[in-house]
Amino acid sequence: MTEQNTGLLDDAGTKSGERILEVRDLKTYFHTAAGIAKAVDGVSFSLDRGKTLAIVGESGSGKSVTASSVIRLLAKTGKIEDGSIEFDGIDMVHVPERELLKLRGSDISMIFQDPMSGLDPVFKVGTQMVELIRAHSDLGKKEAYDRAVEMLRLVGIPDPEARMDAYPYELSGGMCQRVIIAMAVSCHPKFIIADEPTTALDVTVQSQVLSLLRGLQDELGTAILLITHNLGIVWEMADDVMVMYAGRTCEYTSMRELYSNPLHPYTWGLLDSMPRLSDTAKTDLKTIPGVPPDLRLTGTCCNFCNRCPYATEECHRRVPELKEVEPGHFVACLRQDGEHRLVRGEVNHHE
Amino acid sequence: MSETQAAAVAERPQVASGEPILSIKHLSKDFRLRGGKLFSKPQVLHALSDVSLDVYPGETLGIIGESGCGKSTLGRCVVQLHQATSGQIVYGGQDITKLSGQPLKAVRKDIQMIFQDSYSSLDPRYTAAKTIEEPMLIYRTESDASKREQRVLEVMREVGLDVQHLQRYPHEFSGGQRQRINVARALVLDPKVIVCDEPVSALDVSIQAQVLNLFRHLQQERGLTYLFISHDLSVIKHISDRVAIMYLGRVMELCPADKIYAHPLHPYTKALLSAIPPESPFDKKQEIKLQGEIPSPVGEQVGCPLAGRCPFCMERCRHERPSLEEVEPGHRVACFKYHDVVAE
Repeated sequence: MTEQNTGLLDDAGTKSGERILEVRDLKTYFHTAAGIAKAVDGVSFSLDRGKTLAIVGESGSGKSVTASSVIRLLAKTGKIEDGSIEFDGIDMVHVPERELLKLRGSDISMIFQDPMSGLDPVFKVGTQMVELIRAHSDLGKKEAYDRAVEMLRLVGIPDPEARMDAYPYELSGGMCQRVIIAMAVSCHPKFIIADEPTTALDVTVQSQVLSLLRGLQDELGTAILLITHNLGIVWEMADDVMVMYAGRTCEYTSMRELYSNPLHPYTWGLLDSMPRLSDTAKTDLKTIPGVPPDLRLTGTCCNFCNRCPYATEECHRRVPELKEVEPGHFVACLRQDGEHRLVRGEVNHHE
Repeated sequence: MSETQAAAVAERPQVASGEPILSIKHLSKDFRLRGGKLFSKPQVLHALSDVSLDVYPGETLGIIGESGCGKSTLGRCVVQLHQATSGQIVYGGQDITKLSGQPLKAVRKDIQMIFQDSYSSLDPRYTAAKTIEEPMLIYRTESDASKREQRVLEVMREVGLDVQHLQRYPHEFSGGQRQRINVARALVLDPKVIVCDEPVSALDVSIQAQVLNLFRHLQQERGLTYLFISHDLSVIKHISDRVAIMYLGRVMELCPADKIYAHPLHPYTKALLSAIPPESPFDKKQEIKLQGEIPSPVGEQVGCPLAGRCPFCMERCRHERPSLEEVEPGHRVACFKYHDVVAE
């Protein structure tokens, strides 16, 4: 990619704190029988210790693949084609599998969407936790058990000793997600990847789990990469936000900046199409017409051009680069690149 | 408040004061669970207890609650996919829970359902055309094949499907389009009432907005009545005229959709609202935390279902069950806290 991207990473560094993760120009493609799907096509971002970066996007935007690429947890057909991922001084793209196994679960842990499938149904919760802790530390059986109980208590599970003997099916979804979080933090990771951690949960449980994650982050100084499609969760949790669409970054800036001054037409569409509780008028929701593009065919134009109300002819011919339009605010849009400014809600004269 | 909004608010009580199209009276649904051990007594799961709701023609009644609160069971009882344990569902002057055979079939033609999972609710071996045509064959509404085809095309256009996709199979459609096929299938019989069980929960926000708008337009054009079930408060508030909040098989609060946000009464509703992620990073929210988890609906149920978690729980709540009573015009709450105020 261009010089501007390097600028992005350097600039973010001034936001204080120590860099823990740096991803540059990541490309992850899936080689399927029907062709090459460009799931992630040139994405760069960075994350500091104790901070939260949220990746927002619809299904198929590449947000989960980006997260899986960071710890190389990809399906067999998926391959990191290009780019670099540096985690705490380690080159994650080239580190041998054996080293990676040590990192996963200890320095980096992952929380997935479905709490039930994250636990093995035939083993007791306690057994699974002790196994994880012992695999990543030199603790004995007894110490590991005590540590597991302590972790369960930390995540707010009542009567943790009794729960150690429970099987996953005996616990509710919210409880299982707490166990997963307890496992995720039991080895004091520096970095947690939370892939839609609360999507399968009810709102009251969701708010408990989110405040739990925030509390643990404050206590342990963990960096969190939060993947979500819910902008409400972003406002609650994130420091920085990256909006993804069809494998590419649309907009990358701080959370508050994104809320008060969103610049990419896709971000506008996303914000407008959410029904709001405070709305009193019973009118139609604004929608983004059409559907996301086929990932096998992207890369020759702006991926959003077919659904964008502001698209010009040029948008159908050129791929927009991610540019710093305002200090610390990066946008990939040909009509919003600093020189040209687009006004939200403006009629497209080019049609 | 603008004029149109004021008009909409003024209009609503009038809608609700007419004759209900569908009246649910003291409906209960129990499921018998076999005991875990041999010879152990079967236990009873109370999925719905004493639910009474009136649905008025042309309105959308939103039903919201967390998983396991019985909202889907209620929807299924209304379309008679579940046989209610006790209580009545009155539609067109007759109690449909007692019906069977031809009379039931006639009622089912009027009350259609749309499910959450758009993929598993479509037959993967049926094309879109065949799926939409099938209800007409089952209910024998149209004997002429060419007229049926005409009708299929008509409905597909109405829900915004491309008629060129007539011969496509479900897997060739996107999630939003599949849900449109489901809507088309429900509409083809010209139903009066549609039970929508989380129809947009599996869709992305931009697609969700498209489908919600579709529901709205169809209602305006055809005067449909919706029973709209969802766990998403902002979706429910957007689409509904009135909202029923359910918890553990009971209706806790029933009020106009605007009031649920502006003026919620029940502690559970307040807790639910405070748990929703903020609409902006600058929202300062006052969180009302409920302690613990949702209690089990299995076994004997005593007192208010929220008693164990409610911050305002009184001694009386543990033994007595509050009924759903009107505390303000058009606003019903099942909580002693408000009943007493009204009594005084």
